[in-house]
Amino acid sequence: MNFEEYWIFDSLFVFYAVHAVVSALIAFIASFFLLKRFEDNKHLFIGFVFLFNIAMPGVGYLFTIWVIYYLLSVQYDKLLNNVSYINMIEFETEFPEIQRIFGEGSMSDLLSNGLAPTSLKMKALVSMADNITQKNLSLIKNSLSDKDDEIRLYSFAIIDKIERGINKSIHQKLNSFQENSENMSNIDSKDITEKEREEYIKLAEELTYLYWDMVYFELSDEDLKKYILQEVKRYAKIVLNAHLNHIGINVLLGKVYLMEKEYENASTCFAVAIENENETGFTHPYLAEIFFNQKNYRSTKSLLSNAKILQMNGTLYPVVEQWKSA
Amino acid sequence: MSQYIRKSRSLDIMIFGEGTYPYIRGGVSSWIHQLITGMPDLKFGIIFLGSIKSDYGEILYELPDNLVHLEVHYLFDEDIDVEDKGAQTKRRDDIEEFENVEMLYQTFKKSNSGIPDIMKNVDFYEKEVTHEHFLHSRQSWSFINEKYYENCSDVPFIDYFWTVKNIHRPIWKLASIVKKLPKCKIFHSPSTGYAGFLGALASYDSDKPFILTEHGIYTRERKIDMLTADWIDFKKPTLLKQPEEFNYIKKMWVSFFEKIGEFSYTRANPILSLFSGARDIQIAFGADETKALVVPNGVDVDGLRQCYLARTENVPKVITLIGRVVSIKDIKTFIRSIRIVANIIPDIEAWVVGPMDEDEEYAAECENMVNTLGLSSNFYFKGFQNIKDILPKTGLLTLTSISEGMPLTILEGYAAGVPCVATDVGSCKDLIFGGLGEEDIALGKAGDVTSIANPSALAESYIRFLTDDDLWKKAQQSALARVERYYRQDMFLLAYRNIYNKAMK
Repeated sequence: MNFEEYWIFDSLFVFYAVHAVVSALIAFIASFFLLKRFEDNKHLFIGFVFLFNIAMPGVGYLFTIWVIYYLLSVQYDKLLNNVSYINMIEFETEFPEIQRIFGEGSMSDLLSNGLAPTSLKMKALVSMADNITQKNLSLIKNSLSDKDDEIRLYSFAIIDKIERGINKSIHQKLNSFQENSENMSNIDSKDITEKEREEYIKLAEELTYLYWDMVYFELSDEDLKKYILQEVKRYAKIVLNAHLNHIGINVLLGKVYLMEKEYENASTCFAVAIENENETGFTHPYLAEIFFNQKNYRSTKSLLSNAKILQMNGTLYPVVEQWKSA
Repeated sequence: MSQYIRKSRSLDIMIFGEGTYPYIRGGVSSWIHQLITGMPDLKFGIIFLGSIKSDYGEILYELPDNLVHLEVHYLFDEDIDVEDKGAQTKRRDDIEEFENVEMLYQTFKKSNSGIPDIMKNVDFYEKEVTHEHFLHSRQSWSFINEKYYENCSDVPFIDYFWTVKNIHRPIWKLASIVKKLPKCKIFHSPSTGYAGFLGALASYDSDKPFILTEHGIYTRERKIDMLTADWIDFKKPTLLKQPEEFNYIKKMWVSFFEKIGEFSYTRANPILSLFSGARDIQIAFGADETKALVVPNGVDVDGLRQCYLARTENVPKVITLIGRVVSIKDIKTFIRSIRIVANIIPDIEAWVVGPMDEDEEYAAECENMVNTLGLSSNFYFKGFQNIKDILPKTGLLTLTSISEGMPLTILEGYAAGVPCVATDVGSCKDLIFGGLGEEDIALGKAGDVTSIANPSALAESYIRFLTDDDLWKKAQQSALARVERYYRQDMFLLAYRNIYNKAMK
């Protein structure tokens, strides 16, 4: 063992010698200031302070071991970011209490349930009146035969309001259309400006949709329906004369022909719509329905299998899959 | 704005009419006219309550001599007296008055919560909480602000403020009417609502009896009006709304009407209805069961006998609907059903006898529909006519209404020997099939009843009665027997005379 091998022991000896001197010095200095309080145990006090200082390196090792153990085992709460920006009191009252309002059943069950309270049925009707769809309107129509006068009256009021709204629009557009009709007797005439022609066609387009709404929402009974479908066709043809590839009107006219079982005409309209609709896949099911009604199942399968866009359609996906494997 | 057409210092019976006799024709107006002309020995008064003057035209009835007092008030016309008073009066922020303001607001807001006694005293509205206290004091402003943030901060404040103002405004007008009333022995209202509130307040003020006869159920009708109203157009975004949530403004109006209905029911005795179904609804809306009685309508059977005698041997192929051309009568269903009938009976005629000016938009829609369905030579709108000219030429009477009370027209038709096909609403079923017990049922069916908004069912019944003479004649005999036995005008008048006599004692 050379000098360098003994150096560590020498250093330790020097450190502890100096440490013992400094500890004794601190013990004496401490006793100088604190003996007034501990004069009965003078030697014990000096001894305690001296030993405390001497022991500090050893205590430090034990303390370090404990700190390491603590840091390994301690569990912290998850840190919340930007908590200072949230007013927790307001935050708690911000969200409404969520609870079941209409029970487990559907609106249909509720409205047809003779034992359901009027107030609950009224709430259901109010909710549906704010969101008029074909399905909701059908349920509201069923409520017209409810035994409760209040339910019946309110259902009627909702339907009457919708019917009036559509009729009023039809009446207004029809007046404007008839005013323009005389001027437009020859739509290709050079005396008619492009703006006037477009306005005339726009009115015809709006009338097509409005008459269709009467059919779509089932606001017309069978006798009236035939007449209304004729009107839809009449105005749709005016639009198509000017814009042969009009997607919406072609689809709509196709639907009318489909209802009337005029499959050839319907196919033509849907085919034009498919050519122009930029692969939305919206029209494919109608065309597939025509093939199906004509018992042309091969074409139905081919059409549905090749319409990739329908793979993304949640409603039609199972149908498409079924036809692909047929 | 107030107007006196006839003025008297004292009278026997004061009738409060809201939007009815003598400016509007219809069931309630006919009933009031019948009551007044049927008791010529009693002196009657009418207080007509309208919305705004421009909504009404001329007086439509020949006023009977015993109608000695007729005053007209428009509740929503700008009233300079009331408005300026508020602006000119020194505004005081008195704590006690403010507590009264809060009480008034809370009372009209919560239904079925009772009515504080102080609010039954007309002085409360004249002295304690005046119009200017309620809407022009600083404390009131703070109170409205506070309630706005508490209840509906998602609704535009201006809508809330004007709703609070408009809902409560007529209260002070009604209170001022009570203060100027002539001496009366009995107060009688044919509805709850503002008329009923006025009757109840007048009754509390003078300690005279108050009789309520409800023809429809006012509170329910206003509720439907409010729920379908377009002028209250604020809607919460769908994602912020609970499924059952009503528009708060609509809810305020509905609660108000429920409350003034409760006010009328609390004071009225007796509370009368035209048929037992209506009585049940009254009780459900808070009427005291022990005070609720049924007094059916009656018609002048002897006077209408000439219509019966003027009939020809053959049943005319004419179906008549006597009623106003308004949506609640569902004239469109009648038109649709006639389209179906015309396919089987090409020479069928359908007449609608009644005013067309109450809902001109709807009337125009009906006329369009007649043309649309190719019924121009079958369907006629006759306007207002004397029923004595119409009934002898009618084969079947019909009502296609969505809601009815006890329609006088069915009874008038019976007295003229005309059976009826009606929808199953109000007391129609009772009138046609017999609803007053076994003896009534034994009289037979005076027509047919169908579900509402069902053109096919209506058409089927029309065709059955107009193509089967035996069936039609049996129905005619039942109709004549039923009206003669249960629904004579003298029976109706006797019932009311007894009620008036009892009240006066």
